[in-house]
Amino acid sequence: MTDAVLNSAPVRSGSRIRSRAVRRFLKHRPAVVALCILVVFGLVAIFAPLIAPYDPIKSDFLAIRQPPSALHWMGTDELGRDLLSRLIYGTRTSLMAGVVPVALALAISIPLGLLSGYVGGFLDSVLMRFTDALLAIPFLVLAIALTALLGPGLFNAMLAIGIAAIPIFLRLARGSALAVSKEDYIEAARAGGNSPLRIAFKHVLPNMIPPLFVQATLTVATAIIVEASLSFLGLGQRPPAPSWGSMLNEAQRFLPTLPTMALWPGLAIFIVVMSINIVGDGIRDAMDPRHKS
Amino acid sequence: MSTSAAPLLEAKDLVKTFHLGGPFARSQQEVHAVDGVSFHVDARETLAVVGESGCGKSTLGRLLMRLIEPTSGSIRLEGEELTEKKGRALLPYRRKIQMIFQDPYGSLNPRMTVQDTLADLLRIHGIARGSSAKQRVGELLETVGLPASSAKRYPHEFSGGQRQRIGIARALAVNPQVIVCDEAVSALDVSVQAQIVNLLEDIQVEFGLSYLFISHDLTVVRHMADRVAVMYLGRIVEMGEAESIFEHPRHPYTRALLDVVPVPSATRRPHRTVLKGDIPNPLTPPKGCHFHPRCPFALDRCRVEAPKLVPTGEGLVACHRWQELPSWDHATHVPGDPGGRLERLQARFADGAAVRSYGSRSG
Repeated sequence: MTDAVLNSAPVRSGSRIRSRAVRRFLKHRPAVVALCILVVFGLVAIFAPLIAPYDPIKSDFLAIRQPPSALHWMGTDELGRDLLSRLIYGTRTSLMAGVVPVALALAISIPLGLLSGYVGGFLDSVLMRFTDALLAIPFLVLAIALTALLGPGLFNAMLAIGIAAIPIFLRLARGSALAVSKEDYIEAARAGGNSPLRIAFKHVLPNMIPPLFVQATLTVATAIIVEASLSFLGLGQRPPAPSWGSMLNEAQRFLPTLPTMALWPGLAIFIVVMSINIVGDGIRDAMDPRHKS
Repeated sequence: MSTSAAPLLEAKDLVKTFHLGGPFARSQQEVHAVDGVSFHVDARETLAVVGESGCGKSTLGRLLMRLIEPTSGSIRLEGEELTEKKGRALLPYRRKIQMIFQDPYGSLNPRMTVQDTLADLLRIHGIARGSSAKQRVGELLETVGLPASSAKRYPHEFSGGQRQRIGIARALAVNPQVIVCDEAVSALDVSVQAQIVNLLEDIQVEFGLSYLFISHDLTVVRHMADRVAVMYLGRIVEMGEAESIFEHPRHPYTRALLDVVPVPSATRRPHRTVLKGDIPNPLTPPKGCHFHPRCPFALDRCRVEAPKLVPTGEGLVACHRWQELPSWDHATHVPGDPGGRLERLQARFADGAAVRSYGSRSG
């Protein structure tokens, strides 16, 4: 596999750097394993209707709160719904609830942070006072307030989580851009006659990304949990459609009598969050040419 | 001063004032980092700018590179006024004047290979593209003493000295006429320093370059410079031929700077003026001559009236009392040994190791 990557080294410098990064990533064993796990979860989410043994929202009052058995591998919940099927369908919701808000926050924070940190001035002051105000409100409370404003539903919940995450990302992006703009190599690029736009995108942007990447992998986990909280409050995924978070919340009441009911969604969240963090580390290291591979 | 032809690079009454405190700060404070500086650099000449840290010499370098806007004053390159040019209009100028930075670790983009860094410049200035750019990068690297194959590597794969060579290759890429060396060798080990100084001298001859050599290291300056400008708190206090500055410094500050340069001699310079106190806060520079609080010769006049740069016959000096000051030579040389042969001999025998090397060389 390494030979194939080496031999296919293309001529263009951009793609050469990318192929180097891919090679470095492939050498990072835990990250590769974690990526495989995420791919499996992704496939489960896509092919949920084909994999799930039962309808995730159909109740069966003859099989309420059953422990794992041959018929229901993970048992059933208080309405007799198959937990495995709910977990499989919940993968769709939860993966989306984790990734979409973070993607949204990054998409808005990176350009604004670059502008704020590299250009500075009045815009920087305004943006930073704005983020200061938003950061004063706890993440979850802000997300709840925004969902209440936008109305309940999974899409609105994701939107709200994404918006609530923006101040954190924007602060980080701005700080990172500011630190990079003060580096000598930015001055050198200006002395060499690079246009401001080129400096921003070619010199500042690639060097400001790594801390954002770490923050993003951490926030995916938080977003999954926050979606769970919103669902619990009836603001996220609407019952009876499953999400891991809502499953956890339902299981809460039965923790002493049926702990397995909470175990499965908890385990799923744990594995996905862990995998995302490891893959994030792997990608960050792979993108950094200074990192010894 | 040469008046026949326009000098290659000329700065006139250059001023840079930094405002401290944001737009909402209660009191506006100003720092005159560069305060009315004028000089010129001729073709193939090295003008050194020396002074303590904080005296504004790096700000001066950045002004010349048009990295920061001057508050007032003019910069001319081959007679062309540059302070009015902005953005793309500066591009042809940037091709003529380049810079070597102090920190070889910070001045190269860690995410770009050497090839990318250098080829970028060639492309921006329309010098070369594609395979010809690749070839040119290889040539540049060989000029600065690196193998052409190092183009594929990232900055972190090089040592400090090698990185500085890459920095020099970057400055040379566009075939400039002037290179501003901002403390270009200060961050390097002494042995590496010597190699880089030699490289700078070699390429100066090879490409007919002029240097504005900003440094606080007088030993290196003495080795490199044709002329020297001494800066103190944003002003030039003395300027002249390197030989005359080092042999007959007029300004008390220049003398104090030279006094602290270690000299490998047993008898030379028994009288040292060691400056008292730190460089004053540039926010509230002393009135009159900026140097008066630390000057052993200061009079009442020095505390009120700022001295202007006046010609001394050998150069320029900004001191009210330059004519009255005791001669530096007499104060520092052992009388009766004008050639200094005795002291050189004494220096040799003062140190056992020197005797051995002396013996082995003559034998």
